[in-house]
Amino acid sequence: MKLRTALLGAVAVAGLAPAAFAERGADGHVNVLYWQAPSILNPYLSSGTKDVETGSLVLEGLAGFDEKGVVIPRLVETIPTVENGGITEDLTQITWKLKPGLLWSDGTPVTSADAKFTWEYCTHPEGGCAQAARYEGITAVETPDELTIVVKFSGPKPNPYQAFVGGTSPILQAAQFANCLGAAASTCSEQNFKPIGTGPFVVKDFKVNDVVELEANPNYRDPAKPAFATMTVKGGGDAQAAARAVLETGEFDYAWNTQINPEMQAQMAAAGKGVLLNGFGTLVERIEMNMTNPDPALPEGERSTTKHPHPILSDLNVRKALSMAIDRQVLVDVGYGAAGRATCNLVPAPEMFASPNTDCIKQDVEGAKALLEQSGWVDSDGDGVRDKDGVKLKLLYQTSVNPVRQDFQAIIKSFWNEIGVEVELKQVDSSVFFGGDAGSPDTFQKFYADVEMYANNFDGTDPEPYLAQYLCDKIPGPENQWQGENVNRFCDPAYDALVEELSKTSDMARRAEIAIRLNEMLTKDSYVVVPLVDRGRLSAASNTLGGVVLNTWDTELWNAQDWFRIK
Amino acid sequence: MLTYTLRRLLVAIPTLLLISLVIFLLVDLAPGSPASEIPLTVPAEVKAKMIEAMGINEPVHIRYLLWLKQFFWTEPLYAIDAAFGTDFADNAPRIISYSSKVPVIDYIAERLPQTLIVIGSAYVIAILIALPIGIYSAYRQYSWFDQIGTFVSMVGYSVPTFFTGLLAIIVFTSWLGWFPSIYNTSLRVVDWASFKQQVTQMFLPVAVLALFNAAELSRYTRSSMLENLSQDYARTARAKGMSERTVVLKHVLRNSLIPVITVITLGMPAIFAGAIVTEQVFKINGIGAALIGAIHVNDLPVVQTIAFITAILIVLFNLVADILYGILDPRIRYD
Amino acid sequence: MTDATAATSAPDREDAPRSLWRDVWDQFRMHRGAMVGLWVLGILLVFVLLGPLVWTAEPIKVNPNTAQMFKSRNLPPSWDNPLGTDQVGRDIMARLMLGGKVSMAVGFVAMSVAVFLGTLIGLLSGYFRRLDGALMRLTDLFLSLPLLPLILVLTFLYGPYLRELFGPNLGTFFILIIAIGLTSWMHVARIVRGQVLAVKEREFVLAARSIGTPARRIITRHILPNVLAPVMVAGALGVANAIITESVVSFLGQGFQSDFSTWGSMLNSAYYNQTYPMQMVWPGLAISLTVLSVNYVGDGLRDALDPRIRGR
Repeated sequence: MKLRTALLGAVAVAGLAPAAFAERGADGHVNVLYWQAPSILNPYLSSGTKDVETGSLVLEGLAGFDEKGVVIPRLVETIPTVENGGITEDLTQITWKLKPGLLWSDGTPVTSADAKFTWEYCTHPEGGCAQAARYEGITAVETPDELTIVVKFSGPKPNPYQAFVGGTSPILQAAQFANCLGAAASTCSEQNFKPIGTGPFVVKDFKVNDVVELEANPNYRDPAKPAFATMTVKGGGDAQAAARAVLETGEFDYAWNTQINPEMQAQMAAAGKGVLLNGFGTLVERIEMNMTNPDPALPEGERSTTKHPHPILSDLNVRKALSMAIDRQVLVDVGYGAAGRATCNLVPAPEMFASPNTDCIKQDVEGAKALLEQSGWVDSDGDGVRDKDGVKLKLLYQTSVNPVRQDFQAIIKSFWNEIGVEVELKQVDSSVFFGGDAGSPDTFQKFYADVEMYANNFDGTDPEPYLAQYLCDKIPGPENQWQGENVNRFCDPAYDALVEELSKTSDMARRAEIAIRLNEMLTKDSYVVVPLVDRGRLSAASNTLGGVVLNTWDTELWNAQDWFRIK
Repeated sequence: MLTYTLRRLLVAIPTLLLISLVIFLLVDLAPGSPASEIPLTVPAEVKAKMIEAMGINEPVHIRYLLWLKQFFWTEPLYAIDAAFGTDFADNAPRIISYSSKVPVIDYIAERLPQTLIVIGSAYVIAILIALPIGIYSAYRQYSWFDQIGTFVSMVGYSVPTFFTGLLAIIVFTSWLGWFPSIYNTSLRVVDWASFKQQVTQMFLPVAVLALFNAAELSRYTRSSMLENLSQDYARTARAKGMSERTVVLKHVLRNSLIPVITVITLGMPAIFAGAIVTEQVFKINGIGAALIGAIHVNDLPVVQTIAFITAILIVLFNLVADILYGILDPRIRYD
Repeated sequence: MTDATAATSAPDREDAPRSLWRDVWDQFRMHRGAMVGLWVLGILLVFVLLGPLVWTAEPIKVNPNTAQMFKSRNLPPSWDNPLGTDQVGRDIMARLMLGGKVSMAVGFVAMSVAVFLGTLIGLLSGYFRRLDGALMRLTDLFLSLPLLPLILVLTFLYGPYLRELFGPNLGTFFILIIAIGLTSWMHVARIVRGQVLAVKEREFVLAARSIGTPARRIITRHILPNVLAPVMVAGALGVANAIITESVVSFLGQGFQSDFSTWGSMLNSAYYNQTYPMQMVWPGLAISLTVLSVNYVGDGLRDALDPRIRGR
């Protein structure tokens, strides 16, 4: 398979020059396929990627992220920093300056009041805002003049680029959404389907879960863009059909998230009508080890709680041996192909936050066996399963229902059988596994198993909240209705102290250093989290579509204004 | 006849109410939760707020009564408003989808054309194919035409549409590239080119479904014809020296079609059921696809409303079939 | 028994009393399609039930040796794997056998549930006048429900719950049985009720009642045997429907999980591996053949049991 990401990037750069002279709408129509169809275009009412990304064609934040995760200005002149005085020294205030003369697609001017309204909209207690986390810690949004937005935080905010930044928290037009505050938010269909925005396109027609017809925004700030006069974002079908529509039949120009098996990737790319683009973000498929005892014999309310440490997995050598026995490259080849790569890190990106650790990539079965022997786990009764002090080395391994995960389970089970570990597999429907229902025994938070596998990532480029999930006080248990992200029940005072330090540090280099350290404490020091595969995005673009740059830090359609037709 | 119809209509009301209760509870009491669709990156508190905003935390009976009121009172008002530009509804809350915040009825109205065009035309074509085949096979019972026709219809009736559909897609779309692989719902037929486009994208699903329905209908037609061909009146007609054509096409056919028409009427609501699988296979964004999608994301209002509308159609068409039968067959008198 | 002996023996026994079932069998054998269907069904049953004893390839587990596993993925048919292997190197023939066992089990058990429910309700409403109104209303109500959507709702929304209770495979089995059984008894109930109403007024039932036979005995001894025939036909056709429904649900991704094989779930996973269309053809063919032969057998049975046709 030929992955021409770099090449295409070069084409994009070369292509930018002619595109800059082009006229708005000169390149006609472009077809985009989102096989999970957009259901709403207001990202504040839906957290689905499909909705956020389609919405980003219309709605924009003050700033965004580029493909390297760097903050770039959109509606503002420059990115405020401590150096340029945009952020106060104590990190409790950030001041954004809008570009003068910006217009909404209906021709009215964009003002700081719109930003203030957006904050009020999302933080309204009855609105059920899906992006409320991005506005956390904001005490006030002030508008000293029409172009200045001052955001005040309750405490130091080392990463203030959350509110109003990126496709997930764009600016809404106050005039349009004025009657949609709070409980009324979900009744404003017209507004939610046809928001007025500042982005390169405006919605012409919206059919729920089916198709969005867009046309170039007549008031877009760059008079030469977008190159396409109209755009269709079509939904429906599955990843395979989407990949085929771009790569084999050429019916579409761009298809989002064409996650297909490696063989099919090769076969379809060979048809030569388009290329698969891949980009890696922060999504990591991992195995989480349960540090507490999930034994069903324990009374309800004490299972998988800190009262009872795990009889087997409390032993570091066992955890390490389990990690060493896995050949991660095999997993990548079976499940993801070009859309995955073996990793040892919980935080695989952005580059500055990623640990250089690659110890786990090479499978070491003999080393794993030796470690187990060393810890006293030997096969004393000759049944092929190791034991120690009468405890058999037997693990219950759960995950959600998903074809790739079931393949992974089967393969990892065979790896672990190799080193004398007996494994029982369990699959739970995703709706239950990720459902968070405190009454169900099968949620990933409750973790009534020894090890479990799923994927998780973090929003944006800053891993602090993500790493803070492993604090001692975030352990789920009966006292907090099993809510809490620290599913491993990992607890290390040194780790907590370091997270505390991270929250007070604003120097980027130092933040990166701490984040790398925290990541290693969870992975190569303790093997509490065993990362397997860094899962990338895989999208397909037609050979005739220029300017596409896959971005995993913001929405994939982040630079749709720069797309053009290669003739 | 009129009193009979009215009586049946009155009986249908409690039936429908009961059905609505069954459907509502069945869907509502299911253990899944729309929360599982929200990504892990969204914190738990935000998730709880989002769920609360959907109105899920109200007790079941309140939500049922609200839904009933919205379905039978508010939504018709909105329909009247939309048709005549009045303002009876006065912004009363409507049935809103959890996931897309769209009024469910609008959503269904948006999806209906695709389903009706594809599945409806498949049904019409099926009838057009099935009747002549059924009639001729019965008339020439045990001839080679009958043998082949019966076998083909048996096969067509037994092979599930999702299998034939998938095979057709692989052969005609993937290998031969004759048909588009994505159904374009925003295509407007304005000229010859767009008409051709519409026909090409409809061809496979219509062909597969029509084959299946035709198989079933031709079996009915054949057996109904066979029954009537051996009746005394057919013999009498022949004995009177009528031409074979008149006997078969005028006397026998008319009587044979009575049960067939009932079967056709009863099969109409099945259009929606059939749509589920066909739309899934051919990626047509119609009612069936909407239902499956809604079930997947636990969008309960959409599931409840689509299921209930289908139930209304079934009750309605049962009634129509009964009345039609009474009109067509004077021997049947209801009052 | 061959056709020749049967044909010659029939006139010999002209004066001997002939049982109903013998008549039916003789008539059934005349139906060519039904006989072929019976043979095909028999062969399929042998393939599914006895096949695994002969063909011992592993249908579920993946080869733990990953190097070997990689080499054995998606193989074309060969002597070692007559139908090839699937995306993780499992033998498709072995999976087809196991899948068939499950699909047929679902079909037969779900149909039994439906026939049991239908017969019970039909008998009760036909025999006891007081229950008739209520039970027939219930039947009408069920007939008015949108069945396929409801089956999907049941399996999608309640499947996870039952899987939690009984484990993934047994739970799925139960939810399918319940969903299909609960939604397909109505026709049987109507047939049985009609039949009971007719038989109830016959002389032998009156005689039995006049000598004080309790209702339970009248039903089991006199009425039930007389309604058995149409129930059998409905049951046979019900199996075909249940098998299709199972495969539809599995195909839509809510039946058995992909590591456990049924014909429907094999179709589903083959759909995601379209590079090898033959992986889809085998299970699809198996479903089609089974349903086709069951339908033919049902057809033959109906003709054979229809006294109007049987005489001819």
